[in-house]
Amino acid sequence: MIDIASPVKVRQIAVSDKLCKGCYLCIWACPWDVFEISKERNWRGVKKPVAVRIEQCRACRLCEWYCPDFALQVIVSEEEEKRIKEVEEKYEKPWFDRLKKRDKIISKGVWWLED
Amino acid sequence: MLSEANFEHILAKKYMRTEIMPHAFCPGCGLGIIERIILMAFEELGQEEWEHTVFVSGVGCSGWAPLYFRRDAAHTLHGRALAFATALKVSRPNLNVIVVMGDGDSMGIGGNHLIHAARRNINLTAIIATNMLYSLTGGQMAPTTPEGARTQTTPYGNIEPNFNLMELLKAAGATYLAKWTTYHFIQAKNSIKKAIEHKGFAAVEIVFQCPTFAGRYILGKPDPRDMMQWLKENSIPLSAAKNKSPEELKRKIVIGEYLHRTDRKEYTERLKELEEKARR
Repeated sequence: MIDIASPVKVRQIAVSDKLCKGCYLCIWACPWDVFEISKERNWRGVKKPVAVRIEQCRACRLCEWYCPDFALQVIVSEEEEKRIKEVEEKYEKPWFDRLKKRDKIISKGVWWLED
Repeated sequence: MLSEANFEHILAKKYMRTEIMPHAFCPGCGLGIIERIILMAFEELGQEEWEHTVFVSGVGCSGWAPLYFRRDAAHTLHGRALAFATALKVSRPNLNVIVVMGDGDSMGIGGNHLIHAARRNINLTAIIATNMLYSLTGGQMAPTTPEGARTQTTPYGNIEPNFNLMELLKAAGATYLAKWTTYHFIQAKNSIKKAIEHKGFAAVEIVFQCPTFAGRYILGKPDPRDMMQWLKENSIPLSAAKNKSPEELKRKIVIGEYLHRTDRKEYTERLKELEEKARR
């Protein structure tokens, strides 16, 4: 175990409940021994990794890059958090609006005759 | 602090159909990493390139990978992904056409299309995801299975030597070739970026981990972490592999950028010239 505090202060290592499948590649990738497997299973039945020793994190982002399920992100500063929310507004919301519109049109029945 | 309940990575929020995620791959499957490599390459290339991109995929686990992007994607017949992509490129030459194929699509059933696409030198980007066997159907022997490996259909060991894809494509006339594994992540991203910008047939082979079948049957390590470690330890860069005998390279993955040539003419340009000639 490494017991040296990091020069970088990491705000949060977010591990998604929705996307994490529990392959633990993040634990394999982490050179600073930040993660530990949680003892309880979440609502999807996965014992997801938890960043228990976040003060050792150097924000090298290896865990983020080797995660195959887009479930994990190292959030260093408040700016990054803001950027995530910006992307959500700019790209994800119009997409969901489009889907909703499509579903509305399909639910009418003869969808190809409508707008 | 952000809530973790429905959290998604920023790349997923920007580029992927998050309403159908988590995706259908096994835990620890390398196809998710390949998706991320493609998205990171586009993050650097810019939104303009992303909006002029079409994905084509065949059948197999790898055929699922581009369907999670918020782009038009064609899920075509088994082995005919390149044939479809050729038609698409000829009719719309301003689009980036990216073909994601697996072992079967590229070398097994679709081997002929691959050779002829390389011979024509048409401006496609072929991302060939190989995992040493056919994993969608339950782990049968593929053209990339190492000699002596045990799979579902070769319980006493594989007696066939496997394909050297890079040499095959070099001989056929491809103009950009690179081979990486999912462990060599940044290099693969740079290669894909170069391949998209390159004019001519570009193929990037990415060896990825399949813990469920390749890990269990070929290596005897069903844990994705052990498989990543295996990829790390068993890959040799091209420069180091030059002075080694074929006996030493038998079960190794030779990685690196194999070829980058600009002297061959591209197919759609030739076609344009022909059109002008015929019109006169």
